[in-house]
Amino acid sequence: MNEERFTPPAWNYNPSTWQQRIPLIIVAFIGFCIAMYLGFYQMHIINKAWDPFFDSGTEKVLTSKLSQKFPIPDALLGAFGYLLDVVSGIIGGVGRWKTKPWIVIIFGIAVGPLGLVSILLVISQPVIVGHWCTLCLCSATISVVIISPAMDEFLASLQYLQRVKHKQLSIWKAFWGSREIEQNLI
Amino acid sequence: MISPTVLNMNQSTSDNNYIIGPLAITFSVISLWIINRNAIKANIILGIWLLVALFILHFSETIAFLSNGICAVLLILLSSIKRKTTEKFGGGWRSLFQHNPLHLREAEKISTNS
Repeated sequence: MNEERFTPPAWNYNPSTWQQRIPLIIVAFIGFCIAMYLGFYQMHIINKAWDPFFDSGTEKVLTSKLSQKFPIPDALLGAFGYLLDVVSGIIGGVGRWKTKPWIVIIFGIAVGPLGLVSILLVISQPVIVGHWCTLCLCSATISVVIISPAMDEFLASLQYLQRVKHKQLSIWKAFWGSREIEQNLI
Repeated sequence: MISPTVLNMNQSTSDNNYIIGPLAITFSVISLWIINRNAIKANIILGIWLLVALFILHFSETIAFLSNGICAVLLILLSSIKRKTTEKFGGGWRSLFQHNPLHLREAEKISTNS
C-alpha cells in the first residue's frame, strides 16, 4: 500500500520499491567482490589472478602500462564505484525518488559513468593491451547490466524536480528532500 | 568481438571490430529495459559505420568482409524494430524537455481531484 502511494504521476509502477532495488544491490555487490579480487592482485596481496579462458590474460591486463597510469590500482577504483552503487542503492525507503532525490541522483550518476568507463576498459583490452581478462569482462558486464534498471528511479526524481520548478518552489530544497515540498507536491 | 581472431583479420579491421562490438552489446543491453529502449537506435549508427568501413578499411580476407557486411545489415535491421510497451514512465525522458509534460498534467489532475 505504501509502495503504491509513491507511484509517480502517469507511471504504472513505483521505481523505488525494494523488489526493484535489491537485485541491483546484489549484482553491484558481486561486482564489488570481483573488483576487490582484481585489486588484491594489483596490490600484490595475492600472487595469481584466476582466468579460466585466457591463461595469464588477467595478469597481463592488470599489470599493463595502461593500468599503471592510474595513481591507485584501477581495480580499486572500480571497487569504490561498486561500493558507492551498493550504499546508494540501500539508502532510502520506497518513496526515495521523491523523499531523497539526492541519493537517487548520486546512484544514477554512480551507475552511468561506471558503466561507460567499463566499456572503454573492455575496448582497451584488445586494442591497447593486446590481451583479454575474463574477470574484467565479467565486471564490465555487471556494470552495463545495472545501468538501465537504475535509470527509472533517476527519471522519476528528475520529473519530480521538474514539477517543483514548474510550481516555482526551491529545487535545491526539494533535491535534499524537503518534507514540506514533498508532502504538498505530487 | 571474437571475429578478428576467428577470421584472421588485420590490425585496422580488428581494432574496428573490437571497438564496435562492445559498443553494440552495450547499447543492446541498455535498451533491453523499456525505459531506455531508444538506446538501440545508437546501434543503427554503428551498423551504418560498419557498412561504410567495408569500403574504407582494407579487409585481407573475403570472409571477414562478408561477415562484417552481414553483421552491419543485421545490426541496422534488428535495431530498427519497434517495441510495444505497456509500461508508463510519465512521458519518459523526453518529458524533461517538454513545457507541459504528461507527468505534470497528471499531477495537476490528481491535485484538482483531491
